[in-house]
Amino acid sequence: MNERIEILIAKYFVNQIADNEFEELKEWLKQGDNKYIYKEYIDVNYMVEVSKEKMYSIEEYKKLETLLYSQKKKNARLKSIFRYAAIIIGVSVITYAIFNRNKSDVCVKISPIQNEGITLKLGDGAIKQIDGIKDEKIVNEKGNVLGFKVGREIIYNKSINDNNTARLKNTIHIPYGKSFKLTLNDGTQVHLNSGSTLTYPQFFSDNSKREVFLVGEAYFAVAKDSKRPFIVKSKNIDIAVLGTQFNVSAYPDDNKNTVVLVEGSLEIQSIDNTHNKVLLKPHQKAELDIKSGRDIEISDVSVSKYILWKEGEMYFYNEAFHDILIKLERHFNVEIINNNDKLDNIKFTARFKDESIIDILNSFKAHTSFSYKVNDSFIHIK
Amino acid sequence: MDDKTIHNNLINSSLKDGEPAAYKIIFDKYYKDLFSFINFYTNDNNKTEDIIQETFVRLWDKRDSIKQDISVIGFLYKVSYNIFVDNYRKEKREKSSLDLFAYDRLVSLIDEDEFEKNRRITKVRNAINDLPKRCKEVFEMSKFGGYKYSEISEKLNISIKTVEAQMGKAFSIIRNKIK
Repeated sequence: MNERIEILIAKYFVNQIADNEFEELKEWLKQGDNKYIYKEYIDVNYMVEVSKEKMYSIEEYKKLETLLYSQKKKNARLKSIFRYAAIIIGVSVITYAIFNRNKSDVCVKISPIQNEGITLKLGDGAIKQIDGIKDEKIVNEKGNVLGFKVGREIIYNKSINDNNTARLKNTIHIPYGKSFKLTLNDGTQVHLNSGSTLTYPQFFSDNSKREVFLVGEAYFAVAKDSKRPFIVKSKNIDIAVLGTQFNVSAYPDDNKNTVVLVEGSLEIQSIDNTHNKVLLKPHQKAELDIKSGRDIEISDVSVSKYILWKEGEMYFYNEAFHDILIKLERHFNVEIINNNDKLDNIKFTARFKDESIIDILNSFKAHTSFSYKVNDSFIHIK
Repeated sequence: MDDKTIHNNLINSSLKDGEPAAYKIIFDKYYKDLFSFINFYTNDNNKTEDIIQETFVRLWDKRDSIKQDISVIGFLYKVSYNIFVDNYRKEKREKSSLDLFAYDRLVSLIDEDEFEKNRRITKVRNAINDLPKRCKEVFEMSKFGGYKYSEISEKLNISIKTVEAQMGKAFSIIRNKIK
């Protein structure tokens, strides 16, 4: 990322920014996907603030009490308060967002399909359930600690004493309705979307390629290492990188595999046709139509919508209802049966966050006309 | 209705009655959150304390008009943000996209669960610890010590340009580690 912008953001955060720089930063924020980057910086500055462990002191409250109960001071205070009254109107839009957070209760109850949780297969073939809120060590058959499971993430240790187990592979499987994050031992971060499986060595060896195998969808932030290229293999395509950030969607039940590049550069090769090879630049999407076997298509895209799922958001851009239903099934772990063929090819653009499957279906319903019935984990559309 | 809402309603109605205990509970409960929120903008403990004082005075004065079902923290964020903008931003900056965008994001972070928050705090602390030596020194002086760039430059005997670059680098490194 642009070093100048990094400097300006830091200056803004510590209140050292000059007027012209402030304007420059505002201009930057308007462009492309910069809002997404800025949001990450906001999180950093906020978490730094939160991590300070500033406790309120008794003195602070006493000061306030004195202020409130002494009538004289209060009047003086009140004057200054009235100055603010006018500004409140300026942020009324924001208020709306805060105070309308409570959603009306939906009376339809839907239960996700009860299936297996997240599983991790270790090098010796042992399968570990890693669901639940418990934080734990990930230990291999020899008792070596491979890493730690913290919340919805596994972080692998950077080194291991035992070189013999290094080559062994681990496989993580994320069922529908869940997502998970991994930090591999080279520092590469992988966000796995629901219904995805990733196979990777417990530890990457020092002098060979870093290879992983993906079924489903994942966002990769690859740790830079020019000596050991990082290769994501999937059923239809191989992606070779040095250090970059990108999203791969290669679900077996989708007609298309897509790769979207956020930063760096990528080389993508179709498995069936080794001549079908492309180089991807940032903010480009590569799409392979599996059925037609045509060449990989490249187009310019706004990347943020392809990676919003990392934040728990669902984004559909001009997508056919049929494809949207598949994504809803994965996200909510439900089965949707559409008996209304006319709907299949209608295209929608929509964005959801935190809404229930019922809320989402209702908003589609409001724009077309269909009815649906919920039966445990099944939804029938008519 | 979840526990949180019941709890809020109870406190809100006690606050309405002018019950000092309810006021104290709110102060205790939200002071730290509010401090982090406002210090995000000011990076200055004294200014932040002043703004929080004003905010709580206003909460007391406005207690009659607080609705049962609204979140107190939402009210506190809104009011403190307004006080900040009014006092510490120049007029043309009032509706700055940078401030407002951050506001939206910070408000959405109120609802983040404790476990996720603690996990991220640990990550941020580790990331700060792992910063290169000089970078860490500059970052801590600025974010934790509240020193201005010019003061850091003087104390460490480095140019302001270097301070700027180190700060940019620090934020960038931490961002890459925690995302």
